Amino acid sequence: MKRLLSFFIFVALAASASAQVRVTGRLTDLLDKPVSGVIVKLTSGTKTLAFTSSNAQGDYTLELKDAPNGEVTLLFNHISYGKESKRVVLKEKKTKVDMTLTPKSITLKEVKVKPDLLRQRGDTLSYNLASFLGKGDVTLEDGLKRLPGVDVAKNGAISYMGKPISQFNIEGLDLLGGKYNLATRNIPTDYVTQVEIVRNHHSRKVEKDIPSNEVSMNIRLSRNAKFKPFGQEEAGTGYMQDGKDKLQALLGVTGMMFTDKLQTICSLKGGNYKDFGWTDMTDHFGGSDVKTPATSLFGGFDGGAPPQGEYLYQRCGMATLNGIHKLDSATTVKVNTDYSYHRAKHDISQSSTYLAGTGDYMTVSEQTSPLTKVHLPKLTMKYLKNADRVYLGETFVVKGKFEQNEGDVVAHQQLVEQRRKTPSFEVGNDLSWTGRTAKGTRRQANASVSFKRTPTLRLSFSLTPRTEEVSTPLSVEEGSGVRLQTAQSSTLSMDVGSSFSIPIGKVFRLSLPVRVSAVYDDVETNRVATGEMNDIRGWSFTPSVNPGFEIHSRGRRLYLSAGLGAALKGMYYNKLNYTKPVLNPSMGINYTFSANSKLQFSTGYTTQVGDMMTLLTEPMQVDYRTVRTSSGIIGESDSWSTTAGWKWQLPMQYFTLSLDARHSEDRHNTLYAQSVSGMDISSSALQRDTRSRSSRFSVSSTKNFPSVFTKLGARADYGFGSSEQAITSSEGAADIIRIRSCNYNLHGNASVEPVRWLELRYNIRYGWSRSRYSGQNNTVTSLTHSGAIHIFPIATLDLSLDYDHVRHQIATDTYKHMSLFNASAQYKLKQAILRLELTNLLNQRSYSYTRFDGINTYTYDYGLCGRTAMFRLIFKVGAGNARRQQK
Amino acid sequence: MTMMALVLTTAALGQTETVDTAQFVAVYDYECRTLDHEEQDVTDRMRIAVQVGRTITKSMPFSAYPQSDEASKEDVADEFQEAYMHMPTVWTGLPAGRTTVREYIFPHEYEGYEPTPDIAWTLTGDTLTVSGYLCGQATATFRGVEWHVYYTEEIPSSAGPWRLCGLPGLIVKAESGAHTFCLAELRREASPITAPEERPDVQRMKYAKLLKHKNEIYGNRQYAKNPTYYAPGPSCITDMTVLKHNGQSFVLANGGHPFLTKAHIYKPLEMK
Repeated sequence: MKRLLSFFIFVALAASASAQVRVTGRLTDLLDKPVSGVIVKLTSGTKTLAFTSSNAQGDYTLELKDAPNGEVTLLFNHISYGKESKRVVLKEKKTKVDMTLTPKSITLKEVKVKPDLLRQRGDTLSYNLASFLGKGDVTLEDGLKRLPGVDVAKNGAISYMGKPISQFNIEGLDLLGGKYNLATRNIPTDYVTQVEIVRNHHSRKVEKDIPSNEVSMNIRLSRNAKFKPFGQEEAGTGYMQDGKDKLQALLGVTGMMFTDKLQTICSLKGGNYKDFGWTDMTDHFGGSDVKTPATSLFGGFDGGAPPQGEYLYQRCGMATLNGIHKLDSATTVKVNTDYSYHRAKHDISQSSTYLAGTGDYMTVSEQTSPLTKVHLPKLTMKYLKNADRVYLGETFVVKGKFEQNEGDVVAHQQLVEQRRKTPSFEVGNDLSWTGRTAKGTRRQANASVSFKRTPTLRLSFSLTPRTEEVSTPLSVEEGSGVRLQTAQSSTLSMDVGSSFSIPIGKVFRLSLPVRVSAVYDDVETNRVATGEMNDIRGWSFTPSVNPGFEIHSRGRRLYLSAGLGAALKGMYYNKLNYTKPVLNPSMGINYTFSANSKLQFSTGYTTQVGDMMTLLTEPMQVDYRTVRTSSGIIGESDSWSTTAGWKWQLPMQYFTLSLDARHSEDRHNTLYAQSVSGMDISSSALQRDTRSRSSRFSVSSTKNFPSVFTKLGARADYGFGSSEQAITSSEGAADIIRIRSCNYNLHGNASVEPVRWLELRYNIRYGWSRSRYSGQNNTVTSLTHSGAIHIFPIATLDLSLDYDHVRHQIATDTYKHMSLFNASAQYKLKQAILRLELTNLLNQRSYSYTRFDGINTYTYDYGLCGRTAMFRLIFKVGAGNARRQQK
Repeated sequence: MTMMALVLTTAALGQTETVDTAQFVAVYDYECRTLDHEEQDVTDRMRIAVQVGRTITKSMPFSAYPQSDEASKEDVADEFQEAYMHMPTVWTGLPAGRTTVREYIFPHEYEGYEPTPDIAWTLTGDTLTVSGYLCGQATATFRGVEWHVYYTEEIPSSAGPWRLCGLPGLIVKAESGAHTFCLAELRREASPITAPEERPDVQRMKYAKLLKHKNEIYGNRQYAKNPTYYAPGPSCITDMTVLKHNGQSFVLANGGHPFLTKAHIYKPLEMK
């Protein structure tokens, strides 16, 4: 037995030895003296098979476990000798390759090396934030704006290469969800070391073998910001010339702490300066608003927003308490409690031109000062286990929205008082589980339930004549007192789903998701003046099954997925019983050329059936001159949509480029119809097939030059499409109008630091849009420049002047030019920042622009807030002590 | 000036021999994240000069580099900062195929020798760019400590800071749990690489024994609060000088070595 065992061991060793390959040699210079310290590398293509360096005698030895196929290259590299290489085929167990090296002069770059600006590890790009910061930057958001490929919108939304981030983490934990402005606007730049962009992000680790187009961001904090609480406190006072609140004030207290297991951010802010204390609570992933059928039917009296300038007189307040506790490496418990209050008022003159059934145009001019007050409380609790093999998420949400609107309008010498009051709330729970076996089989189950209700929505309209001569009567009759429109709605939604996907072989996977969703709606509307009431209640029931497959190539470069999307749509409202099977097939292809280049393509056909809202056939007074009536027809729409995109980035060259194209074709069985009578606008739907199509192409690129602190960006998009709309006359005849629209936009921006004490920023946008219908041709252009000059007489003092110049077309051959100037001075101390802001230096008081919406034209003239001076003081509390200990 | 006098005196006493000439000098920033004697977070920082010769590489605290700026030599505070970090001077390839280490552990100077260890690097394929140098990543576990290292083949030298070497390019950055080396400066200086001073009072031994001795002394929990807890008594102090520098007092002992009264928790670069 021993002999037999010895024999097998001998055979195994012999076999092993026979597979080994050894390359040896001697390296000498031109005088035949040995050269030591030569790096010897054996490569096959770009792959390094083995490496070593020569010893004092100039000898080297390389060993390989297996003989490589085909030719390989031996590279000899030494700082004092010319690079040499030799191609060899390693057929024998021992190969000897000697080389003579030729001396060369040393061409070492004698430069000071800075810390690495950027690191790439697979799909993760890590930016060293400090390397990109400008001298005047204070908060994390200021720093993010300077990173290659990263854009931060005015509302704080972050995107990378045009793709909005889907998750924002701090030290790997998702504390804030979509309310990440709380972090980006309150964490000082000093406390952040790295900003990581994770492409192909998977929020669920069990799905990491599936290609993802998501992008997430993770913030790494310095040690100063860890383990000890710190905060940013802010106070300010100012004065607004000609303002509704002349005295301006703000006060904010924010505290936070980040440890390995616990993270918390608490904040309390309030004031009447711009949107201070409001935008911190913006939820970029949605979900903070409460939308019910009643609030969707009867919106407020908000008059939109101008693209530039401060126009809102606001009073805001907020309190938030957020905490996340890490139970183990995969499990967290999170609680987010928010309350925010927003009061906003502005002045607007609006001129709306409608095409009437007679072919004439009706223009309505109005002046209004919409006022909105809203209270938003919200509580979210979430348990999450996100491990490699299992995902379990349990989320409970309760939230409310309590809104009051006032929209007094002066039109045609009449004053109409409009009031709206609507309390709404929502309670919901979501449970989701996914498991993955060692063989790659995934099973998923989820159940969610939510209940939302608007108990009483109340709209009131009352008319007060200003002059005796009333040319056009309003739908709210004069002298008849207050007219009321009320509504209420309740919605119970339940969604239960399950799916499994099984790998078949190494490249194929089958999946079968099954889902049932049920929605119970109860909607009532009452137009009190006329007694017209809607009362709809019933169920919408949709079971669906989406059998599909996924195929990927062996190198996972190509990934193709497709699904059938079969569903049975059932609607059972009042006496209506409607059932229809639908198919929504879809397909997606991802091709990865390299880690930095990726092509995406997706196409899908979607059929949407039914909307309970279309059953509201009795008139509803939406505002003082708009009555909405639904058709009573079950709406059906078919849509075919195709998107394609190519993203290319060269992180090490700080360059990004993305190209996107999108095309969609739609068919609806109803056509939106508009009727204009006097000042009153009625909308309804005609039972007629209508088709629309739209295409859009866009290209965007960014390039950074870190050595000179420069960032350049450019974006262009072009779109065109067509749609139909009906104009009904008072006699009931309908004209069908086909509208063709076309537009393009160009955008460029640059941030440059030519010398250490000067920073320049410039932004230019040009927009062109045209809409054509019935021989009419409307074209509007707009050109806006904005720029800023920052001067740093000393490193801690930032003096800046910024401007907006706008050239807007408000009618054919009529343009409006306007310039807005702001200035600021900021002085940074070790623990505090003093800032003086001067807004609207020229005291411009109005802003005009025109917008085409199909066949209607709207010209807006917004009142702007007057000249304002604000002195702000920002303290950094807590982390200063930690910093001193580091020395 | 006093510091300079001490250094000159020490240099005059020792005998040094030039064994190679540097082809270039790499200066690294070295950070060690640890706790002070009151267990508060602290990050110690120092610079390391690495002379890369044709056959020998010498890594040393920057203050010991003969061509270092005179200004930095006079900053005694920097030298005390270095004393917290226990960074030895390492000759790789001296003698041929071997590594020699010199280190002062109060109250003696020690020298350890061993065959140059072969670090089993794994090239991961990840990349990073540092000031235009394209770097590749490699990982290895060296004497119980896991290292993640970036090296650049644009500088064809297998050298690196401290004892880290053996990659197909100069090490630009090296990270382990508590330690980070980061290339800060490259100098084309043909400075002489000197051998360890021939001094009779140096304790010579195999490196494994020196490492064991070092880890036992610095790894003791008393060390941070009482860095000389193990010393036999005042008799081991041969000389002592008190320097006043920028309002602070610094004590030098036994030939100009920093004498610490408090230290930081020891984070070993090698476990065994």
